[in-house]
Amino acid sequence: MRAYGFSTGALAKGDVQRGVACQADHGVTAVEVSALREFELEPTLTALPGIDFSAFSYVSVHAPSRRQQLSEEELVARLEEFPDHWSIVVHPNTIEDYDVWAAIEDRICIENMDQRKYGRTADELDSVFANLKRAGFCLDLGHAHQVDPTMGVAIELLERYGDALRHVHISEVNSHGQHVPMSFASQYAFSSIAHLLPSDVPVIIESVVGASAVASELATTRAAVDSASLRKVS
Amino acid sequence: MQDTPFERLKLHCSADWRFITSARARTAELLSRLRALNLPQNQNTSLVIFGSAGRYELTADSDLDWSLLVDGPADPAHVELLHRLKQALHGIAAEPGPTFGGLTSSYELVHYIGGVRDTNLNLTIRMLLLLESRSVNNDIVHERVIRAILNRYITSSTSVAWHEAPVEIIPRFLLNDFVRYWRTITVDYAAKRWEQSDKKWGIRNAKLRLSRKLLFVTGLLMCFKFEAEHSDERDAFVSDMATFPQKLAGFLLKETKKSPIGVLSETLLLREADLARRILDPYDAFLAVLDDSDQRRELETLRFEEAANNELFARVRKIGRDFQAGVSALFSLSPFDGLIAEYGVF
Repeated sequence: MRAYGFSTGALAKGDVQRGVACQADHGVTAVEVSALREFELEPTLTALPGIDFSAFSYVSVHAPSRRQQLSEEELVARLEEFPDHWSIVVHPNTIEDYDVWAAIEDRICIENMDQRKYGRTADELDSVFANLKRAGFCLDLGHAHQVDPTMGVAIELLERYGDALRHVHISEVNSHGQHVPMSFASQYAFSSIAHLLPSDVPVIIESVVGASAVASELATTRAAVDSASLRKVS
Repeated sequence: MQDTPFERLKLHCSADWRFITSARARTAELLSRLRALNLPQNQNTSLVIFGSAGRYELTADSDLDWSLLVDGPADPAHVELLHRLKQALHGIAAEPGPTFGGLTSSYELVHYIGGVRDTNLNLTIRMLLLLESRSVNNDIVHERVIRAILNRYITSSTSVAWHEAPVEIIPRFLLNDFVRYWRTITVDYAAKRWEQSDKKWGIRNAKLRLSRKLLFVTGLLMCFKFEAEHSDERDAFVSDMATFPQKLAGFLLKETKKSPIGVLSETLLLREADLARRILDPYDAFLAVLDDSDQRRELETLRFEEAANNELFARVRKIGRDFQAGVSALFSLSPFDGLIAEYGVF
């Protein structure tokens, strides 16, 4: 059965402990620890020993989306401190010197970007994967949908990097680049390619929701990914 | 020298096609200049150029047809952006024609295909977006709209037979719209003669016979290309019919990124050199006329009653007829002859 869970940042920005707690009672078995902003990295590493991750069969961590104070070497050194078996989600724009990332190449997942940043399509990610051949791939369906609502870009990403697919991010990304709960349009689009996602690939929900909406967004996600119910209407 | 199908065709045919070559270089230079201006932009808009610049056929007195393509929520700032773009582009080339220089919303292009709401203007912009457009900035928005249009054509083209794999991979709805557009251009040409008498009649006649016809040829080749040249990839496309529309749209998207001469060159490279000469020699001669300010002006001011005795018009008419003969020869070859008979007439 597919593992589902939330990014801690979607439920409690800057508070990993609360982000884990918010989803603990909902039967989820995947979680992504969010250190999306560079200043969250140290507090996140500090908080980890006090958090019980035993309920989760899949855990990933989202690296900072951009560097501000840390050098590239310092960032990679900090990321190395996360547990070895956790996938590390990395935005392609944070990588400048591929040699620096070689030490954790097997652990990182390159994520496709939203329309604002380079790394949005299979062609744009070619050079990254050519230089980090052992890196995994995190397919962000929300980003791919924003770039191309027909999901042609998502299909091309899977065709080219599907063998490296480690997990999927899901949400709706609005025109301001914000991760929001999925509307009918995004559910419909995601369900059209859901059959291309291997059943053992975890899904991490990035929709920013309050604690009271966790169950409904989880149900919406399961319906979009593991059921063809939306397609039957047409 | 760039390794493009056109350059390879020149070598293959021992041709220089000087005016096509210089037009391509002039267009590339203009595009670089426009991109270097760092024009104001918005994340849901793309400045798109059409016309001779879109076809990579800029000549000396070409105007610059452009539109601000909007694909996102309506935003009052788009109008301010439009005004700033007009200011920034003023003086770079001749002002755009009446169809251009404004906002174009993606919504109508995607949702109004056929039917009463698909106006002449909507059809025109949509066809030109597919056949002769280049983005100056925000390629992602430009590409997103084209994918949406192509996807619409393909998903709306399904028939009972397509619950299984199609017998032939021909985007019929798209092909029909390319044909409709060509016929609309030809009918509008006659309409303009009726409404505007001789105003720019001569150059409109020349463009109809050549550059407008080339667009139609490009559309036909795009639609036939899969069956004519890529049918060995069929299994990869039809193995999962749920993703067939996106895959075919992706295939066609790549064709829209090529210039019309580029699309034609790829096909001609697979044929005898003589055929390419029959088509591109006259087209080069046409661009030579447009690149000469005096000859261009002569065509623009030519009166219909004078045409029969006008040496330039006689020459351009022969160029047009030679081009037509070459194109007809191309489409008389297999597999185009069968595809035209099956899909191009009805």
